[in-house]
Amino acid sequence: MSSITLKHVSKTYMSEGRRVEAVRDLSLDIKDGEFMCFLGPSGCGKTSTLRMIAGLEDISNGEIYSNDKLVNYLSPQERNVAMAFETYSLYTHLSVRDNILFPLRARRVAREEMQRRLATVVDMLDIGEILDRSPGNLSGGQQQRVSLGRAIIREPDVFLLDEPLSHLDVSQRIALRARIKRLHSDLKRTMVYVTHDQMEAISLADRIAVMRFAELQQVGTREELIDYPENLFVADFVGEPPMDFLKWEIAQKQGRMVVKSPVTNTELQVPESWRSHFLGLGMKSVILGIRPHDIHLVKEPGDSQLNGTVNVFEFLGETNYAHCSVGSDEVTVVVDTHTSLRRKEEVSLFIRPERMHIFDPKTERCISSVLKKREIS
Amino acid sequence: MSTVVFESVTKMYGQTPAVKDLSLEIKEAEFFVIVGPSGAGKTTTLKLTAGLLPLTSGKLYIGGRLANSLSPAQRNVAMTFESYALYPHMTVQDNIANPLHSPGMNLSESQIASRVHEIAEMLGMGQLLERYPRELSGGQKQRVALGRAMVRRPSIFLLDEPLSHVDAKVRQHMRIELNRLQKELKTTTIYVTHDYVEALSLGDRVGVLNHGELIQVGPPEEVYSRPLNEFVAKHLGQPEINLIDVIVTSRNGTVLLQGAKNPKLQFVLEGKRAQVVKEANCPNLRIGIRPHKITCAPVEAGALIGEVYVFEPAVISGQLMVDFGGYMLTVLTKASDRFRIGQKVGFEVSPNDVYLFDPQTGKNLEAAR
Amino acid sequence: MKHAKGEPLLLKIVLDALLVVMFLAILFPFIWIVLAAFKTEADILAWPPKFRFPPTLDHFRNILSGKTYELGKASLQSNIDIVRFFFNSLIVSCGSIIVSLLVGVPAAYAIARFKFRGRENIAFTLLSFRFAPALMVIIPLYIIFRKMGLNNTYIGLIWVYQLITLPMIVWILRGYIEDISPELEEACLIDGYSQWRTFWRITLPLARPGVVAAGLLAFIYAWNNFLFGLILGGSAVQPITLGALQFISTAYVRYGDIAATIVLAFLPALILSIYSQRHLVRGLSFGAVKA
Repeated sequence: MSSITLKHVSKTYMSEGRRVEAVRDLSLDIKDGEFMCFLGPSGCGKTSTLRMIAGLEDISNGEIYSNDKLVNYLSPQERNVAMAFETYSLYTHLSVRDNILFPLRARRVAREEMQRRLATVVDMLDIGEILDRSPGNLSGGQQQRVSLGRAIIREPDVFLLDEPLSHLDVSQRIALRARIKRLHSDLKRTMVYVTHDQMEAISLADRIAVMRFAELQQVGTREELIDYPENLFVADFVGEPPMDFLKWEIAQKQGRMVVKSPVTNTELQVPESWRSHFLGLGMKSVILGIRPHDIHLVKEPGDSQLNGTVNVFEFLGETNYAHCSVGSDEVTVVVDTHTSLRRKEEVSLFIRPERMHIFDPKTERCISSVLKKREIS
Repeated sequence: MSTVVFESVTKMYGQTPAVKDLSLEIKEAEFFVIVGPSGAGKTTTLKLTAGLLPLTSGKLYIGGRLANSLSPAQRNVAMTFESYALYPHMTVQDNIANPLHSPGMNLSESQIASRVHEIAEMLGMGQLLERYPRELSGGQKQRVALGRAMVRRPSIFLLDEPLSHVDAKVRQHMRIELNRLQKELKTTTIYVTHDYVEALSLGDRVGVLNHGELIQVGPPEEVYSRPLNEFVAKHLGQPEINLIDVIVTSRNGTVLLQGAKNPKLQFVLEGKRAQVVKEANCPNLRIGIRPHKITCAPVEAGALIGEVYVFEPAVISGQLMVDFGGYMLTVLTKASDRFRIGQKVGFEVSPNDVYLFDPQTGKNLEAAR
Repeated sequence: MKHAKGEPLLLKIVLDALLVVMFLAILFPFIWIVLAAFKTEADILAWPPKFRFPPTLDHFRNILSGKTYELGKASLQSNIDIVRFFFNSLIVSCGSIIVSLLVGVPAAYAIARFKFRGRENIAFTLLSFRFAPALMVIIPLYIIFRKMGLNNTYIGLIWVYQLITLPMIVWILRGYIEDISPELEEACLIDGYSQWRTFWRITLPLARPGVVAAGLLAFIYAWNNFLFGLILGGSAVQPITLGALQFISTAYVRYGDIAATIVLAFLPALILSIYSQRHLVRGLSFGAVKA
């Protein structure tokens, strides 16, 4: 059982004569038994952070605590963490069984204990049939399961997973993702997971730490990130399809606050409770953000506020996306599987005001999230 | 004219066929997507079209001409590789300009420069022209590869898994961009991928390839909604379609299908559908149910009941795996629903949403032949 | 991974001291010869050995000007033209490299890219030439050379040096070319170029570091070679590695001149090695490890 605390952790290294900052001033609490996901684009610092937690890389600045014990100077073996790598890293000259038992043999665990743990792992990961095969004869998904088995059998305090699904094809990925989620629920250990795929983060994690350019952008549950993103980057990065952004303006109109297109007549009313705050800010240009599944097609033109034309209709099987032009802007709308639209078809759209997100174009911060959170508390 | 016609094309590697008796007609300006798992023969098909591999047998026509023995340079095709294959020792500008310097192009330096700039603008790469490939991100490299293909104004684009190594985020943006580009340029395109989402989204028509054989060809909606066999149904769809073995009991005008492992899972087919099953004359069938066609219902008598194995929430819909007495079914749920592991759930499926597959051949019993 | 505790200081000192001792032991012959080149004959032979002495450039002057001089009772005239030997070495070494590159680069390309029967056999046979000590074949070679009139000719030496340089170039370049993705060449073919043009435009520029590394390494080995020049060469084509032998005769051994000649002999190889360190390390490991 282990909680992990990072306090002002930074990592810099030299590359071709220049200082590169991989992680900057990262402070984060990972609770005991939590599934925490580091999410961000390539190069944002998430893998460096994971490797510092593992002890595979030095910490340039700051401290990492495990259960309130400082671990900066402990080697990976001393930290009792287990890691599953992007590339599985299985020992090709050993069978699956020997791969999994390897860490126990290295620690001279008793035979009965080894067999008992092996049986548990085999059951959890459903690898009974491949125990005697060698890694070269396994599919990617099977190799990853063996890699997980090797990590689990050690019964470590913390599991670290570095993009474990990135080299698998779609169906293997889905199957393994469900398995990892189930594992977490069965093992009840702290898991730290790194990925660039927001779908994995959303489906697996208790909380997600979004990173960009070596900095932590926001930490929260999936609901918090989706409904109350703190800035433009998080709002765009999390959620599929990505949030629609419109460069509009905000203004007072007949006693109400509206956001409107600078080009056409389209306007949407801002929730009444936000009016005074925006008046106080005295802003003009804003970025209006709406999640594609918060835009609804309506039958009665009277109910709608926006009119658009379909540019591209994506039929994707389980969901359909309609990419529409609304005035001078483009929005993506999620439509249900029964609806099929054609190019150039006219559509009427409706948005609930409280589902709007309003961003300050200069600071890129989300003003509406602050207001919404205030309203809840 | 820029059509591509495959006539019984086969490519063997020793005794193993990589492409088996492929016959296909790709129309002018069509965006044709070949989709299939790794090893299906997709890249081989593309390389045969490009002239990088010789055919073992069959005929290949490009633009109406027999192309079997033409070198790549003579075929006027352009290709992007899964690994981008950008020349590391040349700048972005030189990479894109490379086709234009080839013998036979006969363009002046200024013409070359202006075409390169035109393409760079179109792909939003104006500032990257002086950089080297190692300084670019995956998405940027992809665009350079595209630019190099487009600059020749070829009659055919061959795209080999262009989005597979790109971040999930960038992939979404690029899909739309590719769609728009192709419609603008109106170039015949053969696009190869293992990701069915790209296939459905981008293709005018989709061809499903497995072990070198073309299994089904058609517009995306048709291939998705009316799969010819189990393989196509499994490969197109995320999560994978649920497949359940059932026992057939024929009655007067109706047919009863019961789960082999759990008879509580049952469907009654009537009318034409019952007819089809009776004609097939199999004691067993395999039925397929798409995860988003299973709706959760309150736990009460009459509904099918199972226990939640794992629940993964997502933005638009959650993914639920339910242990239903021996069957593990995947269900796509509404975004607002939440489930706990071990919770009992009820669900229902309309018989109309059930696909009927022959248990031996995997063929869809209702597919038109 | 560093530990906060660090290694015990004593262990570190002992290990460092051992390293210094090893370093000195390996370099000692070089240091001695370089010193000797600047000492007078008397100082060279002095015992205990002198490390502080008045330096002299006489020996260098002697060998470079081809001067003859007397020593003691007998004075002998001989034409010892060290400068000419230097150029012989240059001609033979450069010549070997050029021939090896002309033959070896296409050979490496063929072995790397094309699948043909006996490919590995041919490649390994080529490598095996480096295993066999030249002494095994030198006598038959001498007889053959005499019969063919290749003794004491540049062509003869350049040809036989291929045993040293060609395997090196082929094996190092093979690794480099295999590392170049074939898709780069395929992309160029599609861009509209022929196989030949693609080789010049894409493969060669990308393999250039390998060519440089292999060429430098092979040059150093060719330059340092002693045996072939000794048996198969003659006064006309003697490389500088043999030049020092001239100063050993029945009447005298001119240690100083020998030392100066040796310094002149290894200087080019030394300079090249230091200059091309980066390339060499990469080149050496490429033959061994496949990415």
